[in-house]
Amino acid sequence: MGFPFISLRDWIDHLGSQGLLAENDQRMRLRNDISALSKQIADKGGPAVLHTDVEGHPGWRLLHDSLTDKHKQAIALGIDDKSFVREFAHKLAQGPGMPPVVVDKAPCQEEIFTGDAIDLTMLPLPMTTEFENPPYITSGIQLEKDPASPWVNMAIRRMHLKSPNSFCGLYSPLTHGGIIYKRYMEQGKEMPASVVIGVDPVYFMLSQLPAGPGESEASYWSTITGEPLQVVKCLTNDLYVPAHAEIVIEGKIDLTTRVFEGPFSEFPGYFSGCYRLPLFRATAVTMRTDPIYYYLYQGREPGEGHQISRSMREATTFSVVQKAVPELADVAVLSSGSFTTAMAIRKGSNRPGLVRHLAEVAKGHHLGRLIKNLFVCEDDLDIHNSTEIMWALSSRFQGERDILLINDQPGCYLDPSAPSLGRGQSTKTACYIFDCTEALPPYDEPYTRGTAIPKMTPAAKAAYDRILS
Amino acid sequence: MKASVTPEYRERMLEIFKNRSWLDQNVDSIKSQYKGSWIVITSERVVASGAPTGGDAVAAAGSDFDPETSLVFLVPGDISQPF
Repeated sequence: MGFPFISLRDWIDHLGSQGLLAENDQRMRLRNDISALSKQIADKGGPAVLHTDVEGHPGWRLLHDSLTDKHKQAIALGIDDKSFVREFAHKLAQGPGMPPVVVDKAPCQEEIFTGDAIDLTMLPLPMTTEFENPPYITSGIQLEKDPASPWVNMAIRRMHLKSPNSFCGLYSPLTHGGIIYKRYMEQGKEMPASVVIGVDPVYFMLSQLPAGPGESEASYWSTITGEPLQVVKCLTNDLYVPAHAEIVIEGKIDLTTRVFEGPFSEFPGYFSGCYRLPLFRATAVTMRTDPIYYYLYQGREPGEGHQISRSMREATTFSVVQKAVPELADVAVLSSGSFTTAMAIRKGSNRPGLVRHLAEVAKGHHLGRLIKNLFVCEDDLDIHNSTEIMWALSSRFQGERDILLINDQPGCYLDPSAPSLGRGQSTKTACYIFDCTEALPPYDEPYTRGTAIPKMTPAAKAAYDRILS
Repeated sequence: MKASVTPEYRERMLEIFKNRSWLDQNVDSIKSQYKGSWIVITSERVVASGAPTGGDAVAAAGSDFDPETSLVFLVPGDISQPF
């Protein structure tokens, strides 16, 4: 068994066979135990964890951190982790793949609950922070279809449980979910939606793909796997969900009611504010007979969600920007979504205006909307290593000469440092471009002497390997 | 074994829903009284408040704090509505 993985179970089996999975049969409480363990794994590294004894939920298993590092992500995507960004970007550049195959009978519909039988307390929902109450669904991928086109957007969004059959979620202005939501509002219609939990790793990662407007993220599943995605029609709306998912919550969003929600431990690392948000009313819950819940830590980075989002943004940004700026060699998202990003250009690319051109293309594209700090370096550095970027900032950058400020940019709705522009609007932010490349003439003379670094020798390498082993 | 939730855990969740629903319905008046403080809600009423941390409110609540079902909440100054 190997790539591609069509279900979460296939993925778990493979991780187990590679020594990348730990099974835990000790009872875990839902408040803090699981979230704190997940944070430790993200901070220090570690395997995916499958819990088999979860407080109050007999028969359930719960998985987390199956995609927290690039090594596991690369296995899931069928690429080499040493050339992750380029290989993944190459796959994405092929565009949407073959259409999905609709099946009549699906594992995700082995158990069906409708009407009064719907009970979301059945889900083993970890509470991420000390005072989170009621819990959030943090790994639910919500599907919502544009009312006027075939576009189906999918996104992981926070879902705050409100009752056994309802929750509310945040639609940020300027996001695709927000755009579709607004269209239903303008038409005065309820918005049908389905939430999928526990899916194969490619589908899970695609939920974080910053696709273009009108582009369905799921259409890239077959581009990556080479096979069509198997889907099944939901029972109470017209959306199609992965047939091999663990859990599906079908429902509709009442756009006229607002429910008090928050605060939530959001990805920029602070609790968000409180909001009045629309209510998702479940019309059906379907699942496997022995379902596996997937937990995704949310809060201050690093966490699994940050790492997935980082990889997706690196590859898509590389794919798009390199078409306009062929000198682009690498992209690294360093922090929070893509707030802080580094780009490498090929060493010795001294086309006048290149850095500014690159920065303007990167920032001008929809993928660059969230960038607040952009470090442009040369590819003699590993830009995925913050220490190397700090070195370039120290030794190649002069503030008076090498900084560019772009003011009055639309920012991230959840950025705690950015002022809100009001209801239905985003926030206002600024973007700094740091030119950390070696200076062009007449400032280049010190750089012609070269960097001061010893040459690796076979004996030194052998000694290093011996000492570390 | 078929996946399920124990009756005890479900009861606990329903009590949490009740407390949260009560907060949702009364947040405007609570905001005017406790803005910027942490409060503890047990059995659909505010039983204590404290600052600057949630722990201070929990300490003030004493035995009125139920670790399984009480709501500990920082009362916001502003409630936004994205749309």
